This record gives sequence, C-alpha cells and structure tokens, in this order.
Amino acid sequence: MPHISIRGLQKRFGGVAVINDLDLEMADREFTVLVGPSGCGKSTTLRMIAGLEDTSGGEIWIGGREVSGLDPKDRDIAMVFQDYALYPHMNVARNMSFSLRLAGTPPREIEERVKRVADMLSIGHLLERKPAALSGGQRQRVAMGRALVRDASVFLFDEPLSNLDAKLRNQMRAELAVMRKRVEKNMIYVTHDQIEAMTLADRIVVMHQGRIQQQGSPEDLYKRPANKFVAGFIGSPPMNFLSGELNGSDDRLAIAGDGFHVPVPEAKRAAMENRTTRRIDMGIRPSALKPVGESQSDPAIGSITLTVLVSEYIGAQSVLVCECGGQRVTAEVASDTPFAASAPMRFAVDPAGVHLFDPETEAAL
Amino acid sequence: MASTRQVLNRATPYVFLAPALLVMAVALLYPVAQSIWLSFHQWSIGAPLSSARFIGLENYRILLDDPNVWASIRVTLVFAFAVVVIEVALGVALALVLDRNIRGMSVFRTIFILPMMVAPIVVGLIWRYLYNEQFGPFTTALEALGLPVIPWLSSQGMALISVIIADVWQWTPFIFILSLAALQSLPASALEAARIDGATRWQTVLYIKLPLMMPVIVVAALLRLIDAFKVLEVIYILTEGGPGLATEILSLHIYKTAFSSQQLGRASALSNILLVIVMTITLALFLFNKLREESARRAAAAEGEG
Repeated sequence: MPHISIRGLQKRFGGVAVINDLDLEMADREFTVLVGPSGCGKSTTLRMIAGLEDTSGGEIWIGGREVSGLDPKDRDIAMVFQDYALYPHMNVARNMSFSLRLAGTPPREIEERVKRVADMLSIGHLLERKPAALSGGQRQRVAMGRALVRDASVFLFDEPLSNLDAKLRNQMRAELAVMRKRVEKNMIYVTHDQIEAMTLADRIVVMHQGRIQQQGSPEDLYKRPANKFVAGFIGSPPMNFLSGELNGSDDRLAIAGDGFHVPVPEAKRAAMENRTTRRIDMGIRPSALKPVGESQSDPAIGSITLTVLVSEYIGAQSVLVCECGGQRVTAEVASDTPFAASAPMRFAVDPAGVHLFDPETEAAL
Repeated sequence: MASTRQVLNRATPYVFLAPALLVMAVALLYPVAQSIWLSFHQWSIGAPLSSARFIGLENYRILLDDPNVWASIRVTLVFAFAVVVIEVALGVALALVLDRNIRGMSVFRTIFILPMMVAPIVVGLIWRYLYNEQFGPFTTALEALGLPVIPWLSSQGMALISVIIADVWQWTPFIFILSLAALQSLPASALEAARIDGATRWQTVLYIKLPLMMPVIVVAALLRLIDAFKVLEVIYILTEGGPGLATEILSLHIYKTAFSSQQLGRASALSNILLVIVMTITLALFLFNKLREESARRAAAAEGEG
C-alpha cells in the first residue's frame, strides 16, 4: 500500500530557494496536514507531489515508486483545488466523470460510481447543473466528488476550504472529518488555518520559510512545541511571549521581568542551570493564566500583573487583551470574571503551562 | 419650479447624445437610404440626379435574370466560406502552438500579426509580385526545383485559390490574436485539474481548451465572414475579377457596374442584395448561437426547479 516518502526535496524559482532539503515520511492511510503562513512553501510542496510543479532536486516516492519525473496522470493521485477548478462547460456529472471517461471506463460503471459519490456528498440532485449554477459550497462538494470518483491512492487538498465563508467552512470541515473516516486513503492537506490542521490531521507538519519546523500529532505540537514559531502558530488565541531573566538558584530558580515572577518548572531546572546567559523567552498560553485576588500569594505558583486594555467577549469565554511592561499579553478567562479596564490585575501562572525558549535560536528548552 | 428642472435633467443625456446621433444619421442612414432610393431608378454618373428615371423593380429584375450576377454570388460564397474556414483552423492552431512562455515568443507573436497591419492595396501589390508568372519568386522557385510552373492568376481554376491564399495570409493573424487572448484567459487551475484527471495534451485541447474558447472563436469567425463578403482591393489589384469571371466577387461586380458601366441605380440594387445576403447569414448564425445558449439555460433552469 502506498506510503509517501519525500527525500531532500528542493525547489528554486530563479535563484530563490523556496524549499530547502525537505524530508517527509507519510504512512499509509494517514491524513497529513501541511500548515504554515503564506509563502512558507506548503502549496509548492503539494504541487510538486502532484507533478504540477517540477522539482529542483530530491526524490518523491509514492508506494515504492519514484515519481518526480512522471506526469501527474501517471502518479495515481487526485486533487482538490482552492478555487475548485471545475470545468465550466461541463455539468456536474461530466465534471465528476471526466477522468473516468478519459480512462475508458464502461459507461455503466461510470454512472454507478458518480451516483455513489454524489449521494455520499449529497449532490445527487445537482448532476445536470453547470458549475455557474452552483453555490460556493456546492462547487466545493463537486470538486471533492471529482477527486473521490477517481479512487486514486493519494488525495491532495490545496486549501480547499479557504474560499468559503466562515459558517460554511466550519460545516465543510466537519464533513471532511467524517469523510476521511469513510475513505481510507492517504491524504495530504494544505492549509494556513491552524484550526483546520488541528481538527483534521493525524499528523501536522508545520512549515516556515521552506523548512519543516516540526511534525507530529496535534497534541504533540500543542503541548510540546519545538520552537517559538510552532508555539506561536499552533493554538488559538496564540501563545504569549515574554522576555525575562533567570534569577535565584535551585528550587528558587525563577524567570522574572517587568510585572511577573514565575518559578522554573522542576523538569526544566537542570537545563536552565547550564545556561551561560541569563536572558530567556517565556511562552504562556492565554488559557494558562488564572485571575487571582490581590491578597492570595503562593511562591510555588508564578504570578503576573497585567493591565487590561480590552475584553473580547466570545461566549462562555472572554479574551482579555492586556499589557505587561510594554508587551502585549492575552488571557482567556471565564466571561463572568470581573475586571476593570486600565487597572492592574493579578494572574496566577501554572509553571506546568510555561514554555521556555532560547532568545537566540528560538528553540524550545 | 422643480418639474421644469426634472424635465431638463431627464433631457440632458439626449442633448449630449444629439451631435453623435446627427453624425450617425448623416453618415450612416443617409447613404443607405440614398442607395435604396437609387436602386429603384435609372441613373448614370455625370447626369444630374434630377434626371434619374423611376423604373420600379426593373434593376432587381435585370440583376436576378443575369447569369453573371449569379456566378458572382457563387464566387463570393465560395471565397467567403473558404477563407473563414481556413483562417479559423490555422489561426486557432497557431494560437494553441504559440501559447507558451518561451523566450522570444513575444517577438514571434508580433511578427505573426504584421500582415494584418499592411494596407490591402499593398497586400495586393505584394502578392501580385509573388504570383508573377515570369519573374515572381514562386515561379523562380518552382523552376529551380524543376517543377512545372503554376499559372497562379491566369488560369480559371487557380485564380480563386491564389486570391484565397492571399486573404488567408493577411487575415489569419486576426483569428490568431483573438484565439491567443482567449487561451490566455482560460482558468489555469481547470487546465491543471485536467492534467491530474489524466488528460493528455491533445485531450486537454479537445475537451477543455477548444470548448472554452468557442464563444470567442464564433465571434471572430463571424467578423471575418462579414468582412470577407466586402473584400475588394486585394482582388482588384490581383486579378480585376478575372480570368473571365473566376474571381469576380460581388463587391467587385458592384464596383464595375457603378464605374465601368456607369449604371449607378443597378449598382445600388446589387449592393442592397449583398447587404441582404450578409445580414441573413449574420442573423442566422447569431440566432443559432442564441438558441443554443437559450436551450442550455432552459435545461439548467428546468433542472434547478426539479
């Protein structure tokens, strides 16, 4: 069964390297999400796997076959495009069956397969329509259906939900999650939306500037980010970063800065003591900040004093946008938490929820 | 007085349009009306217009009884359809071949559209020289290769073909640039989807590119067809309609009737006949296209309700 292996993949446009020595292994039936900001090379990587873009170096293996020199049609792949890429002059049924017709599949089988997939995506009643007569969500389903009838061994998705409005996007995301349980294939999905990545992926590959920053399960990436970039990219609202200094020693070792004092978690103490510099970057998730009263004080728990600027009400939770020594910090709190704008407010910091980064290399410590 | 103001406001666009409409009326409608009026009269150039004699449909009767007119209509139809078919086939094929980003392609494309920019009289002169049966390059080349010399313009069978070749040379670029523009505006991702779906280059052209280019090709062909019915200068320079009547297309016949035979009434009648032929063909193609689109839309709408 196909297992995709990418070895030393490179891509240069003119003199500019967009992908540098990318190595990636994807197991069979795995749902891999390539995620990263615009221009990180994720779409280019996907297009090279599809064969729509030439490689500048390296190898792509699909199911024990080196495919980087092959035409897209010889790679046994199906793809869903960001703008759906439907054929405007063909109706839905003909859009979906195009590849089968080219392959000379018997008409009866074509009809059967199109019907089965169309029913699965609930677009059975649209088969006679042209794409222009469909809504965005319907076009998205047709694009999905066109890939699914193929019965290819690898499915590629290039930001398939980013042209939909927020509500439809959430709905389609849930349907995709259901569909991937039914269609047990190797799927590679590109997105810039970390929520899509977190909810759909078996494995997330975070890319930045043409390099893989970290890969692993959603939980891995959320709990143990390898560097500051991944820590800031995964999770919503994003992680707060504060620059501070190490002071004290042994069990009193702590990170301190303007308005905060957080003991170093025991597990990380050894690593801290070997450091030559005292400067350090600290990451705290907005959900790890708990409001506490002025009087309460526990030296084992860190504390931070923030000035609340704005409260963003979401529902059960509110996001407080605050300031701490000139740095922006957000805290996610229960909506009924009382707060006063422009007044200092004390929060407890659970040391277990603290991430530490080297200020030079940005690697996690 | 708000109402006066309102009237003025509403009249403003028409006031601004008036000069253009007046020019149109004088420049477009007057000649057509004059030509229709004239077609019912007998009048020679030189004589005062007041001496024109009303003769009813006599001009039309004479023309439709004249076998030379029918021969001319036949030549016109053969010429027009032949050039349009060849130019569309060549122009679209060239566009498909040259639609790629290779260095120097823009220079190539510019060279390809040059013939279109040459004045028709000059095109006629160039081709008259090329076709010259004593010292023209074609003749010289054929002789050098030891092949029999072709009587390009002097044989009944060959003259129309030679005239068609010259027109194809001049007007294929027109179809070419419009097709190229259509090709380059095709949705890039649909073409990529076709590659993923397993279409070969040829299948992509056949099933995706050509169908999507069709609206542009139809309009371009129609424009060429209308133009081909009115072509005059190149043929006039090359053959003057000869040998015999082999290349005497309608516009040339009209020209001769008007200025050689000096029968302006009859020439007007003939040009009205040409106008009717062109309009009929254009309307027929236009309606055919409209009906096709309409039936497609109705099918989609009917399906949408169900």
